[in-house]
Amino acid sequence: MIGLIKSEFRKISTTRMTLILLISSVFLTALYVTLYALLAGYDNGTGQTLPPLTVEMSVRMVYSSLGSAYIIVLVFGIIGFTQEIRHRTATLTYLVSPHRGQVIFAKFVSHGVWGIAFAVVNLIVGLPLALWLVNSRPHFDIPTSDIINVALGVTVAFALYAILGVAIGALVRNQIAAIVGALVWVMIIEAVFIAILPNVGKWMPAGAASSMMQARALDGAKYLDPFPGGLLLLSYAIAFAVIATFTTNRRDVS
Amino acid sequence: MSIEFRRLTKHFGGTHAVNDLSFTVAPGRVTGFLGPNGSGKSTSLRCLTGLVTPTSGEALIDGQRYVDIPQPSRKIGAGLEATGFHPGRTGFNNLMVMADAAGLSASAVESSLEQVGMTFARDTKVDAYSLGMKQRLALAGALLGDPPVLVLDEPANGLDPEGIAWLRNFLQYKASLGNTVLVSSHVLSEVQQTVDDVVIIAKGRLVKACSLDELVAETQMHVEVVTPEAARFETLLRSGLDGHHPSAIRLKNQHIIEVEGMPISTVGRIAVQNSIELHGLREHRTDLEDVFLSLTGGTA
Repeated sequence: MIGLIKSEFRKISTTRMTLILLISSVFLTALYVTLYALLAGYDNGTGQTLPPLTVEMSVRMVYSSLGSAYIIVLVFGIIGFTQEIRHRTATLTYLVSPHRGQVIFAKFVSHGVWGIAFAVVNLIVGLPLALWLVNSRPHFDIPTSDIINVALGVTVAFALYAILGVAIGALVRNQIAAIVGALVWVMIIEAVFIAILPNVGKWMPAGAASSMMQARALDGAKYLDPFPGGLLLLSYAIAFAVIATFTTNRRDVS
Repeated sequence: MSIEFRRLTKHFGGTHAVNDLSFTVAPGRVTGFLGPNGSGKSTSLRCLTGLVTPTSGEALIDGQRYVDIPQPSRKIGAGLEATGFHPGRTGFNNLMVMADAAGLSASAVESSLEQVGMTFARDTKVDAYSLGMKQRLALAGALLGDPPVLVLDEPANGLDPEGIAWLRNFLQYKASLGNTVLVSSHVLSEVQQTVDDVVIIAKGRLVKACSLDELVAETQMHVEVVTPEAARFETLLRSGLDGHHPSAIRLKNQHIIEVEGMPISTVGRIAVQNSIELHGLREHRTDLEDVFLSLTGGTA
């Protein structure tokens, strides 16, 4: 098992896509943090503006946006599995380790750890940026412990999203279909639910992720508290992982 | 260590890829697993290595199913797909990923690369490899755990003549050490000089399993006669000489007759005794490839 996990870590570190996704995630985080901080209180003439940073919600929004790149971590997880199909490396992987459940488990572990690494890098860049942008202007002070909780929430959510991505990849197998399907789900279907049926939307995976990033009471949806939200996302990850392991064991590799 | 296929059957939906296939592969010899494209070779080898689940029957290595072998890389080396490498990884890293999972060290990777003559390209991305280089890398992957059983699917594909000659020596050397070597090919002539035994399949069914020598013995010797009096000579041949009759006579066209089961000397004597004008008389052996094609239902 240790060898298998080592192998999966080597796969991740010897794939250029890992670095590309990591850099993209940092850019996305920095962009969202900056936009939320600078657009707060900005009047574009329509009157529909974000409240200024002196309002609690606007400050929380800036810190919550530290987790914006979870979608990229999801893609990272998806690619972690689907590239084995795309590049036909699954044959060699299963030849060396015929017990596929162990291979998937090793992928969960390695991608989960990398999800944490994504979070750490994003926080190292995004958190000082958010603190600087908020503190350089008149603002509402939220407790430091809340900021720490957002950081913890982002870290756990990223780990779970990477695992969820691996599971989705194992289920769908086609790389393009899995990525497009996941993006459509998170950015369109769930967004619609959050907007129209928030009481349903908050129970969905992205809703659960938002709750972990302390986004409650934002965009009209009353998200779950971070801890039950985390448990919900964990349940999704486990459910997908179990189904993915089951289907992967049954499928022929030809 | 032997490989044993026992009534292996695999259906993909309505397609019967492999049908009731049974044969044994002996150690110390190179066995050619032959059949046209789509005859079920790859599916059989994937059933053997646990990648594909058989509909019924089984394939065993040393009496064990692949999935039940604790460290498969140390027992059986399988090269099933030359293109199954990540193009963005170097040859070395592609093998290291396997070595990690198999609990083998970097020195096993170096030694495999050296055995197949690929050390020079160890740090080159597989993207830049030729098909022949990928074939060698696939072979290196199979050799990682120094296994006593080697199973290779179309290993000669994409190799240049020099590479094929090298592969032949390599496989024969491995077999001479007592290893079990099974190599598939859709062209008999490609492995004719390499294999000791042949297993021939067509449409998922076993057609023939024997030694190469036995297959060669099946090639027919016939006498080809060129004469302007083909029709008359045919009648004379049928009546025979001293009670000797040919087993088969084919009138190829107005001038050419093929005679089976009669020595060339007898055919010649009948011609002289009956004053038949001969323009040609020669012995001709059917090609081994023709035997293969007729066995597998192909056309020459």
